[in-house]
Amino acid sequence: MRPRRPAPARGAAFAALFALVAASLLDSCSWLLNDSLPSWFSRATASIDLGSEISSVTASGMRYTPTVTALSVAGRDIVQFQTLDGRMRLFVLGSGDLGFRRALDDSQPVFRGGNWGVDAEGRPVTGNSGGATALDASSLPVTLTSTGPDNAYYCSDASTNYIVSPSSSVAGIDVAVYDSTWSSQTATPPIPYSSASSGTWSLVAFGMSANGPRILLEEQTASTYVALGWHSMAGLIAAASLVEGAPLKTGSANPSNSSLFPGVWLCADGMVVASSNDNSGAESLAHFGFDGSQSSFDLQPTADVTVDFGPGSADWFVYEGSKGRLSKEKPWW
Amino acid sequence: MISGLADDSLSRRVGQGIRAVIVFAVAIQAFASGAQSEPAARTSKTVLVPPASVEMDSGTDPVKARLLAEQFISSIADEIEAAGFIAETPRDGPYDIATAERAGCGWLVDSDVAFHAGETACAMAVRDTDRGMVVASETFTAWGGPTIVGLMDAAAKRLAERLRDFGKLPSGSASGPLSGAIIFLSPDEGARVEVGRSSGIVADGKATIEAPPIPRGSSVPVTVSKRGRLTRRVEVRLDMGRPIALPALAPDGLLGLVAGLGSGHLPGLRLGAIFHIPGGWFFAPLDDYVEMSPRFGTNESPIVRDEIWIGAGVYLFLPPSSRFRAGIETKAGLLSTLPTGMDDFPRFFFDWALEPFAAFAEYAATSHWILRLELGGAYALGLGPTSILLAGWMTNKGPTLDASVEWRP
Repeated sequence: MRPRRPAPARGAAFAALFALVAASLLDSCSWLLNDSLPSWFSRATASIDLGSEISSVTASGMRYTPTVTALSVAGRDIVQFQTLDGRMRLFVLGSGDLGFRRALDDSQPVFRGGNWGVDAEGRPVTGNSGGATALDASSLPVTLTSTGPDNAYYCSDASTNYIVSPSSSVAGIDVAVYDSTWSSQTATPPIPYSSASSGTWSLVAFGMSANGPRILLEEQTASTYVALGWHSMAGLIAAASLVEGAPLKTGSANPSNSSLFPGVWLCADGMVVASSNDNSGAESLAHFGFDGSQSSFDLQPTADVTVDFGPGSADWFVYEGSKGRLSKEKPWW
Repeated sequence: MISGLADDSLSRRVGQGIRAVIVFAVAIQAFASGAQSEPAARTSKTVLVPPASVEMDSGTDPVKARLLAEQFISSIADEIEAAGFIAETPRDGPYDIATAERAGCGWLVDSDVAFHAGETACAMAVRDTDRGMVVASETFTAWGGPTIVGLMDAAAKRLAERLRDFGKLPSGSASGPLSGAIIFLSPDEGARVEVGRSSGIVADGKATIEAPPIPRGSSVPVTVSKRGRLTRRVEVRLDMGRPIALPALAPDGLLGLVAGLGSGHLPGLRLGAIFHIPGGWFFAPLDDYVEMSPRFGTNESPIVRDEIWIGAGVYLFLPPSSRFRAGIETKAGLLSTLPTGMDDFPRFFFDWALEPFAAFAEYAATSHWILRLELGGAYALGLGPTSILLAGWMTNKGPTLDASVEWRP
């Protein structure tokens, strides 16, 4: 049998062990920071219990939403989603505090779900082939046009409204120019994606940032994405082609096939590409800027989480499906 | 210097202490009655071993108790004979010193067996018929069961060996009675030190007690008590001329204050209190972790959190008097998280969490300061719309480890 150590020696041994553990706890910052808080939480500027709001406007059991589109537009935050009853719904939230303002659904004839932009009067505007719709100061829908292209994007500059859509005649985009009241339209020639013979391009997203229009294109053969930028709509309309004619261009990137997310988003100063981080198991979001910068952010935890970015703002959104919570985030870049 | 000090690990057992005091009182009384006469040569090798006196509570089977008592006496007689003495087991009394002396016996055995709440306490002592002095004694306590017979045999053997050793000593040697004062050293100022009917108060680190009329080298129970400390009883061997150091008493206060830090939380400080249940085995911790994560990344804002945990714990294995202790505990917590970057600051998020199991070890560095290491794991429930944590274990890379210091008044 091992001889029993005298009490003073055992006390000194315990005290030494205690000091060692305490010192390591003070020194090991990475271990100390090993907390279970979501990685995006420290950049949150606002948060709303969207699940409760959804429950209040839908039948019981409709709380969970398969997809959420959220973006900041015209001083309001727009949340668009499809509930389990198959109905497209829209929440208008106050930008900043994400306070609930109004709920709409597609049972209202003038509301048409689609891509969102801002018109020349500063109103959020969206639409589809049935026409364009804007939200007035009370966030009620008003009709702008009675027809329009599919997959349309809306934007404006000082006194002119634009509808950008994939061209029906060439491999490129059409830009329809409207006056400030959407009453008259001027046709412009389509702009091809590329003047080079190689590459099969398609329009993924379009939006107007504070510094000009932004376009996200996919080269389908290689499944690579690139974000393009112009300083004004006039510059875009005058371009001979998009890929070669853009004054601002990010590097090309491939989203990870194993990514949990859609893959690529257009944002005000570039694009964000999702990929899976094999080392940490986290979902990594990489921002590619027009200035050539690139920075990544590990999203943890990723279970039951969706994210969304918009071209109108650098802010982005996180939606936690199990909690029904939508958080607005500052950029990590 | 501690002389023959044995840790009182069995102090919580009720019967043993009572038996030890009985033996000690009998020894003092007998010694006092015979100490005035001159020692006589021990010429008789005969030991009178009368039946044991039996005490029992209402839940004890009297037949079983009597059989065990007879077995006890049989063990004593067998071991005494094995030690080279002659054991006589009379069936009729009286069984006092005078009777034993008239019968030509040099020694008389006093034995007692008590049955209480399933516990059996046995005490035995051998007295010199010349002087009535206790020359050997033994006690033990055990829960009922077949193993008690083996314990009886072992105790009887130790008693016989002590008697044999005493018989080898020349008359008038160092086995003579104690006289004068005995000095006990104790770090607990104001503590009361009791040896039989004698007692003293610790002042300036020592207590002086008049020596009881027992032989030198006798082992006796010494009780040390102080308000706010757990009373402790230790067995010491009394030798004249050497101070006897007594162990420090463990706090018996209801409240301990705690400060510490740990992993698995945000960086911060743990402040708390531990409410100790009298007796020293159970406690209820109330902890508050005040934490802040600075977050130096682009556009990141600091996060402040306060964690309140309440729970219950139990010490295992080692008694309250031990400087080392270990145990387990369980806790429930409410975590309030405050991100400072919110536009509608201050906005709190609340999470409920459980720590189903934590193990700890602690060491009483002094009678007031206790060092503690704790290993556990917290599970966030992820309940409610104001919760920020997903349901799951709150650490990704391992259990939580806390180091803390407790101060007990």
